Amino acid sequence: MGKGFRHKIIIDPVHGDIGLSKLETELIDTPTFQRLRRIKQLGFAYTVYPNARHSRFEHSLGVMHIMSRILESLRSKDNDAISDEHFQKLRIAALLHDIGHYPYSHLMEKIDWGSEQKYMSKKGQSGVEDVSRPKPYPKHDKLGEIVITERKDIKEKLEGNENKIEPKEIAALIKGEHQNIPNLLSASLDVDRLDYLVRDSLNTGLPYGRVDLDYIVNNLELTDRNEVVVCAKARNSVEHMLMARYFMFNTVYMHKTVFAFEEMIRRIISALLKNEKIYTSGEKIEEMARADSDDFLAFDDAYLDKLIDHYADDRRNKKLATLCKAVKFRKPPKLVYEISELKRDDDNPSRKYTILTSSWDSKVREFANEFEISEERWIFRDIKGPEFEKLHPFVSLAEASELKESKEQELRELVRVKEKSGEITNLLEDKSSILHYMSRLKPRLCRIYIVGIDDTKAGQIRAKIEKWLQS
Amino acid sequence: MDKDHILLKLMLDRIGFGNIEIDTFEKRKILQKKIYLLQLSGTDLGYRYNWYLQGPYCPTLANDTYTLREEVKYDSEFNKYELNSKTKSKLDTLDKIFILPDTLETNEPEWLELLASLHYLKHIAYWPGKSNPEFEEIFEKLKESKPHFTDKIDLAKVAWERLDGTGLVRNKTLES
Repeated sequence: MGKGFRHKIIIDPVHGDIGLSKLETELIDTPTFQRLRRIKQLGFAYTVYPNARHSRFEHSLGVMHIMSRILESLRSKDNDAISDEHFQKLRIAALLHDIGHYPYSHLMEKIDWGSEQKYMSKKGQSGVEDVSRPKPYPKHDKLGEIVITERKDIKEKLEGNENKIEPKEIAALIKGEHQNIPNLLSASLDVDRLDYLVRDSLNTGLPYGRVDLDYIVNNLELTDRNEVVVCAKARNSVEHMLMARYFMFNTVYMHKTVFAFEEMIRRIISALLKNEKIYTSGEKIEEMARADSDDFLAFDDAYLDKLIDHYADDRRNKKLATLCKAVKFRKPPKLVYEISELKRDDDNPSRKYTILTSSWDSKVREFANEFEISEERWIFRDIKGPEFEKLHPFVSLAEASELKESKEQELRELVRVKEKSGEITNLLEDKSSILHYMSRLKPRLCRIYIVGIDDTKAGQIRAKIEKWLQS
Repeated sequence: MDKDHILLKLMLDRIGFGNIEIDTFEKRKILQKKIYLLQLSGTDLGYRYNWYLQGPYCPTLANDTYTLREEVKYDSEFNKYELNSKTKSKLDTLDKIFILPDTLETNEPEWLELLASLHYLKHIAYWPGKSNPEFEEIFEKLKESKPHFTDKIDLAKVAWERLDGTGLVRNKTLES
């Protein structure tokens, strides 16, 4: 690493010394970047893994460090692979890639705004068109773009006299919209993933995410088409990394209690929105992020903590108070039923899964009446779609493995291997790879929780659901 | 079935992909580009595209489509819904850009790739030091990253005019 990147050194438990340039130091010292110290990387995972309180701040530093190491590795094979200018810009893009994150990371992005109802209606009710719905909160990457291109402290540092970096260019690099600089921030072997697996593993105390970072990084190359490939000799390390994602996903990100708390938080946020106690639309969030005020700086985990604390004692809204109290005093809802399947992707789901997912909406009322537990205390989640896929290692791989034409754009999503012969192949196409077989498996996960019941009641309800599904 | 998947199913019905037949690359390409273009009507399904070898591409849409293809086998909730009249009329405004030009040789995947790519390069791609690139610059960029369009300037001009005719050269979307 050049001397310019030793302006300051930060010690990190994952990567050791992380060197910073003057500009990076200035960016980190802005109040907007410091806000990331107050946003937990793993949301509510700390309710199960007490030490999982690490923040987006250190993750961002780690991603920048890995980016730097990858760029150095690429340069070691081809000195012209990355110019000095691109080197600095890519480091900054990595540093700022999470700058727009919400309190508790992804929770506030996943609120059901019913936006789809703006475009469709139930048959026979087409006269009742709801077009007045508020704009949903933007995704964190969109919010990050606003922060980078419009928020004064960050924008000024980038554009400052010595630096002259266009904020839009950094935003384009993060979004993969840059036409000339390789996309290292959103690929299968991306820098984000390489940091969070190791960091989450270290901070939860679970061993699954300890990937062979050094070997992977040292064996990356850039093709003529600016595509990152891994040398064949590091194939096992990459397979291990993809398996690590699978285990971390099941053990941490989808842990039944972590998931339950996050689901409750989503309900709390929806209730607060309904009562206009938090930002009521995407426009207001965007406005707050771009304004040169302290509101965005206060939009951190404590923002939600204070609201939960306050409404736990609200006697006027008992339903909201019940949820807030459950979070405040760590009383997760009981998991009363779960179906977890891992089947070949061309196999149909089990009969139980099919009945449960297609009939639950009509059945819940009957159960609610029978057990005298109001419907809003039942939480049903069929976990699939983008939010599941986003972290899941095999969904996209399984689907893409159906493809035959090796040059298809979909395959750019996948890990590409440079064989000894120089040929570029997909890891999944290699029949000696365990992922070749794993990629054919499709996970399905469906859960029912109930807020505020004891184990006895949970047992009774579980038996009743089982009986229904077997009938 | 989640509401976002129901909406996607209704949109796929609208573009002739109701059976979700996506077994060939060409079909998937048509689906990707049509959804890209239909969103420009102001019907925002939330799919955001990146630049790939064959134009704008959205991995999330690809995954959702595969998931939906499986879901419709056992869940028919979507049958209870329809696109509302306002949405239908917005989508109708874009119908004419999909019609292949009758004077030049092309095919549907190529035509849609061209329309979506020109729009993406005009309004979404990052251009160092530039904010409003003109057709000539965009076509140069297109040729650079997609050599298969090198000899297609006439076709690109027709596609550009078609976008311009619907207001998608001046504005990023029909609602902006």
